[in-house]
Amino acid sequence: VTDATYRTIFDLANDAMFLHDGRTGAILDVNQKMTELYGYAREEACRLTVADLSANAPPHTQERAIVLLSAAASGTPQQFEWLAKDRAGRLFWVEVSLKQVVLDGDERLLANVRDITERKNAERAIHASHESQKTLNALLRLALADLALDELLHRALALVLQGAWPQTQGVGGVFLVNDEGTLVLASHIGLDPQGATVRSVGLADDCGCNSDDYCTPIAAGDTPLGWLKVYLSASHRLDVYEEEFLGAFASTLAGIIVRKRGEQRLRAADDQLREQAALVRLGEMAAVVAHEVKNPLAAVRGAIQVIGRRLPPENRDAAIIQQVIARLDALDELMRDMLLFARPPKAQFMPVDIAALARETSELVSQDAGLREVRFEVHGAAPAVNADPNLMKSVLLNLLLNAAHASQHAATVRITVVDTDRFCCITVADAGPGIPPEIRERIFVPFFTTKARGTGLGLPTAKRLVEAHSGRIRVECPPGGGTVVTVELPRFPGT
Amino acid sequence: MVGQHSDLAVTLPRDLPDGGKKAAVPRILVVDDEPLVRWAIAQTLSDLNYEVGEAGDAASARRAILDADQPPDLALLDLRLPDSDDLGLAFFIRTHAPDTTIVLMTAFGTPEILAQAAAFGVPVVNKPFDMSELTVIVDRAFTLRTL
Repeated sequence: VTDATYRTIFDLANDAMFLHDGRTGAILDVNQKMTELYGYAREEACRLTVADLSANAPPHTQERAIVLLSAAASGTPQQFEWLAKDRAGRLFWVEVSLKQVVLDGDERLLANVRDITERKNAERAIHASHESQKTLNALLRLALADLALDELLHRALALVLQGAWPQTQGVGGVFLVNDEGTLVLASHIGLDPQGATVRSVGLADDCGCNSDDYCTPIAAGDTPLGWLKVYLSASHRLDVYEEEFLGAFASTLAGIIVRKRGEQRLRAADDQLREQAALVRLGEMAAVVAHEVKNPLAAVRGAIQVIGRRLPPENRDAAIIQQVIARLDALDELMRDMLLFARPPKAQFMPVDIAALARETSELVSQDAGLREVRFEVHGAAPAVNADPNLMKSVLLNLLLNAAHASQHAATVRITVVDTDRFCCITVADAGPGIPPEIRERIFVPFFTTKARGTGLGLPTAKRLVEAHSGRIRVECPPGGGTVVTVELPRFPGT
Repeated sequence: MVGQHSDLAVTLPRDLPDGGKKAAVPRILVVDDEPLVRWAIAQTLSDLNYEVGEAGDAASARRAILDADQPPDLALLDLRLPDSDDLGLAFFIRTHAPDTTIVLMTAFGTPEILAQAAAFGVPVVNKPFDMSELTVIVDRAFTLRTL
């Protein structure tokens, strides 16, 4: 077999081949396939080092190549995968098998290099498919757990950002459109919610963010719900498998969000129904209590009053009779409060000047001996609202008494009446200590009170009466201190 | 006290000790099923020198009206009685004793009943009331009567 024959066979090989010097590792010869695969001419290739033909990032470096070449040179054939680089700088995977040969008495190393790009792609596809399946399964399992939406979103994000695949920076967020139609950062890992990155995200087709990151729309059919954003490190390249995975993830998430929101709405409606049913039962009970307690109370009071009147003025028991009557009156008042909450009278609507009613009510409260030092100021005015003056007076009375009780002595309670297009807003602001957050959510619960002597029916009754006007009531404690109760009465109930 | 009401308890005197003052002492019939209330009202009125008769239900009240030589000048009627919870008793008294002034007492006056009473020309007082208000209520009723 001549040299020329060897050459022909060498060049016919389907794999790229390198002939290295057994001692130095220098490239002595390459075959035709090598020049095709790497894009170098034979003469050029022979002037290159392994480093020039490698990704040259650990572990695919010159140092590692020398270790492998030496091992082969000492008689142990080597087989390994290597990230190679062609003349244009493109990286591609090869499988190298390295064997010691003796040619014409010289120790040589023959490297058989096979392009395994296809195999690597297939492997990557299988890996991506396996990993995305695993993550999607985990997401579906999350959906089955009884989690609040916030918690679920956070755990879903962790699945994407903190799993083994895809390789991300571990930073991202879920942006969702809220009930008011604004896009908000619903959940995130590693983002600054006030930062420019977050603020730049909008709901338009082009979300307005850096295209080097993954920005996957979350949508229920044609309705956009928001974005799933995954931020990547500078070196990370966008990858079709990752994009597909994030698309599937976002679709699954959309389904879960829609279902969770539906469940929330159902639960809220259910709670409301239950609450209404409870109120109806309470109303029935209150009617019985009214009959069974109020009547005997009145009877006892009347009889005691007759007996007391007949006592001679100097009788010491006359004072006790007065006290008994005062206690009976307090009991009767409690019954009245309970009845008003449990079975409020049907509202008799008529035009009411709310500011005038507020003035009238504040004068009434001012007459209370214990509250003489509290000042009431009524500001603003509004056109007459269709309301029940008696019920609204009960509402204002409760709010003003609360504000007065919360105020330190000689403080001012400000009542402001403001007219908007749809509502007449009444705010009652005191300069008291405010309501601690842990108590704030219970203030509308019947019979909850922090007062030494209170029924805990004031605010629940106010709420019920305001709602009987199709209005809303809310309580806020501004950072500056004090408590602000806002009542919104629709100017045109029923529209 | 539910279901436990008094039977006939009429104490309208047929003969007064001093016949000369007979016309001068107005007679009042108190109809209420709650004995304590009835007692308190009757005692208060007695202390005010009225002649007081009592009835615990509508049937007793009807008999008191029919049996009396002279119908009472004023009837204080509880609206809700064991055997009546409408204006039936008031109608009865209006029919059989047209000269008797009627005042309704109620703790549970529905708007309908109140409207009917107004149409019928019967004043309504809300229960419970303070015993000291009783004199005002009765005085007003008698003032209306003389008009």
